[in-house]
Amino acid sequence: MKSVLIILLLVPFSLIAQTVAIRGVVREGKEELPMAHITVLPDSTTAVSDAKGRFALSLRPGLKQVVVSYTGFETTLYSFFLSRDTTLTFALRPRSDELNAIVVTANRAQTKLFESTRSGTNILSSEEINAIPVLGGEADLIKVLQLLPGTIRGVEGTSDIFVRGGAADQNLVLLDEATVYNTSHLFGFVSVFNPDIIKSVESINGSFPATVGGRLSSILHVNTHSEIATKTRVSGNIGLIASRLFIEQPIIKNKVSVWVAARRTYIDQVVKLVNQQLPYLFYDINAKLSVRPTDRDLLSFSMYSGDDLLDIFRDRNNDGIGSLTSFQSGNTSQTFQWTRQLSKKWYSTFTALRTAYQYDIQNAFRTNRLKTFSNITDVGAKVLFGTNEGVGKGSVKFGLDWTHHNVSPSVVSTTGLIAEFLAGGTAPGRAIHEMALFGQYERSFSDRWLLTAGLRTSFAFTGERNYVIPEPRFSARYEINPTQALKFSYSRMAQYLHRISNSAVTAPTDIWYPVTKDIQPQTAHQFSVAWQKTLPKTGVFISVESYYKPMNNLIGLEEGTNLFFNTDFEKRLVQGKGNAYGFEFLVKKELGNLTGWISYTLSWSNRQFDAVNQGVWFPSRYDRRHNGAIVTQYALHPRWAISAVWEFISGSKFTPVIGQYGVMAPSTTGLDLIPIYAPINSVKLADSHRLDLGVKFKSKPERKFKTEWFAGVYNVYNRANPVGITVQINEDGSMKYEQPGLFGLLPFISYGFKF
Amino acid sequence: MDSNFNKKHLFALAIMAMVALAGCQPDPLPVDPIPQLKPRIVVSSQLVPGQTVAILLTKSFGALDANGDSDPVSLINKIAINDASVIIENSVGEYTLTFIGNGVYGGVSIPLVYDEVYTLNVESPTMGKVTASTYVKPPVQFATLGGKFEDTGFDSLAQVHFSFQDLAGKNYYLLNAQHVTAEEPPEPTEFLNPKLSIHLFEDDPAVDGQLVVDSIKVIFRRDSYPGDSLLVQLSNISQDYYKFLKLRKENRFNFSDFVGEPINYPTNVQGGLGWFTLHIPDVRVITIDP
Repeated sequence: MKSVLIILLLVPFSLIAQTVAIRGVVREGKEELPMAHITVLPDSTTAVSDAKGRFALSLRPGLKQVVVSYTGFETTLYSFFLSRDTTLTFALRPRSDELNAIVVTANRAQTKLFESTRSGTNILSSEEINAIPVLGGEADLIKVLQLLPGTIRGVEGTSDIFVRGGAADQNLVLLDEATVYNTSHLFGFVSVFNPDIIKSVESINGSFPATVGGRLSSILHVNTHSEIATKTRVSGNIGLIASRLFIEQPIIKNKVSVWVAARRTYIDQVVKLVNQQLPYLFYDINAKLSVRPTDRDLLSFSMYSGDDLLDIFRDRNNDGIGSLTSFQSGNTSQTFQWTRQLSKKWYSTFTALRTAYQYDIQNAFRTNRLKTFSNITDVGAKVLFGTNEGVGKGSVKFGLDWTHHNVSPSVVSTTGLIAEFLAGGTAPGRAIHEMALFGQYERSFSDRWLLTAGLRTSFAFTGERNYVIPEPRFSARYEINPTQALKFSYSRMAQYLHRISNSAVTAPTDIWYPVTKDIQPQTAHQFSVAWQKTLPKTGVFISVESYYKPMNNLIGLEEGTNLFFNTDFEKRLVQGKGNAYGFEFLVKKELGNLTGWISYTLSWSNRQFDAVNQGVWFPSRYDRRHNGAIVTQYALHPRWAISAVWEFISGSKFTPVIGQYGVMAPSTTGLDLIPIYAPINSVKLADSHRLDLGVKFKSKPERKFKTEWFAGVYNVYNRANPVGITVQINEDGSMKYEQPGLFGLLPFISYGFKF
Repeated sequence: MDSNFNKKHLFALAIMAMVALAGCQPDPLPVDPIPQLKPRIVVSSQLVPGQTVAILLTKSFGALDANGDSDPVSLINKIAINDASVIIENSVGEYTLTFIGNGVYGGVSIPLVYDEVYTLNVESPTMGKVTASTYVKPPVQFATLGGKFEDTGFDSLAQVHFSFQDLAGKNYYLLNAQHVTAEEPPEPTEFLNPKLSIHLFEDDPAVDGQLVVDSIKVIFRRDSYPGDSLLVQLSNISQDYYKFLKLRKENRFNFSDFVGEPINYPTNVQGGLGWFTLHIPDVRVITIDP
């Protein structure tokens, strides 16, 4: 144990009592540390600091040793002779070990969440993301989120998430405050987030603060590293699917630094070595320049660019004349952010951003060409003012968000003979301004009650019709005791941008479309109640939460609408209602050799559209009743760790073809067979469950060039996780239904390094 | 070891082998019982040249009972309804259709009065009763019709140019073309889901009642024989039937059952499925020489 910096204040209090008081506060810098342990020897008396970091003890006078410990921080030992009431202030320093620092950050963040009025929120550390074996061994933020309560995945392997009964487009994904419209590479199997750049991930599924909005179901904040680097840092990873490299470099000591990260598949290059062709690749590039011109200011400029590229050339006759099909799908974003400490109490954040997503599909053969294109571009700004008050002391936040959305939803262009069969066309471009004004106040009104009340008023200006929607936000915390709390919340959410997609699966070629004079904003109310408990000594956090969420103006399509090459889809859009409710359970352990979590969600999600299913309510496609996961990592040794994930999820709903009928073809001969579908989403696919195992081996920590091997198996017992129901023809000509899966047992291995 | 097979190749192969060998495709899972389809009466109709009405009565069947590759004769035998009483009535009288065979019921000499409502009544002791109503739209006829073979280099098309007099008011037209080979009768598989070129269009109010001149292109395979022809039909149809055909055309080639949108196809048959229509086609045959 080391002695660190201690600030000692001796205040003259009464000396007459046989016992005297030690009072104090435990801090890190200006921030109080709740749940710190204070032990006084030789009395063996222990206290735990409260939410404001304060503690108090009554002791007999004499020589004392005070031991102060807090997870992730260096333990402090202070010896003195206690003769009168004394007030002490302890300022702790974090431990220098990086791994524990990351866990500490998450643990502290979890503690802060527990102390706040917020529920329905998950925080992930980069260590957690990198420790979990996933498809192909590529660490993936979205795949980890899918293992947490309240978040349901779509088709196996894809990056869609469905939060508390919402649709995939009801989740606002922000990378350094810039919206990411397409979160996936490799047709959904890998997310766009390079794990090396992630500093923190916060997923808000309920109890929304007034500072966030724009989607009905969740806000996912992915924040990249923004601290000023003090030394050069290089890290990389070579895996089966992709490889990545991260370089961080100080430019001006303690003032300016930059980092760059890149990731690319290389399997296309590997197969070239054996004279094969794999005409697909994806890449990501992220970069950030951080500047701290003064102690009060931090500026950063970050950028992201990523693409999926596919080029297929087919020459059936080997005569050099063939067809070329190309597919490109990609996001770009740029964010400028300026955070300033205006005074001891007030701070401000200003953000300017630009983000764009587009896809482009082309097919060419001789003089024939088919091209389809879609694009959405946002420019925007955000301003936030707030106070740094401690929990319950009356903190304020207010500000303004503005975004201009410019959408070119679908352009189909055909030339040559194909134009005779498929006419080109352009769905009208749309542009809207989306704005929000918000204010929020948090204060404790007794020893036990903490309340947060806010209002976010959002606007959309389409040029033809304007929308104004007040979105009240309210959350409350009742402290049962220092380690248990009840939480209540209500949020109203509005959404002005919708993703139009096939109800069966979402795809990179889905269309983003704003509100119009006819297409109204989606809205939702959400009510939630939660019970939370922490066990500080073991770093365990327990949460049980229930929610109810009615939704209006949800987007759907008329029956039979085909989105492919369809520029006239707006007439086929319909709007309806939905509801979702359920229970979420989470036990999370972040300290010790064994870490991880157990999550379970019991949920229902339903929809109703007048134009669909004869107006009868039906289950949503991803109304998956039970959803659970056991995620564990065990540190066998400082250099060895094993991890396991077992996931269970009820089958999604499906609408199979259950029959056919024949009508005379509109010609003089022939019979057309027309399919008959079951009622919408009336059939449940088989339940999915899967076990993934991984083992990690690290080089000796004293080495400058550190390495790490991560190997494992996805879907150890090779079970099919169904994606739908198909009719298969047997060898004898008879037919049967079956449910195919996508992936079976898949091993993975990756090599990481850093120096 | 082959000198050309160096470490680089070995590494690549090891990676490929690990992925390929271990990427075992799991066996599909069986399906729990899904809703059973209760067979229902299906009605479809045609007016053949000479204004003979043909009604085809079949019953719906399960998804596991047949598909587009099934033997059409066996299928028709299985699903045809041969015990029904079929009557068409209008304001003037009732006309009982004669059972011809394989679910087909024919009626000759049924007077067809334009814009008159005709009601079909079907009663089968095994399948129950259904009714449907429609009205006869005034026919249109080709003013001109011709075709020309066009070799694109990688495939071949037939360009069909035509004209007709648009009828006054709002109208919906069906134009379809079917390749008829002169070499031999169509393959049995062509009977189910035959390859048709279907064109649906609404008339343009700007040229209401005027001569419509247009052309379409139809796939006409390179290996066509001399004397091959196109069977071309032009009909004036009801709006509801137009919507049914449009929906069918848009989803005709959904490439996967579990990616496509489920559709409840409309029907004007009360208590059943299909469509009862009495549009009068102008049927022509044009020869396309390669």
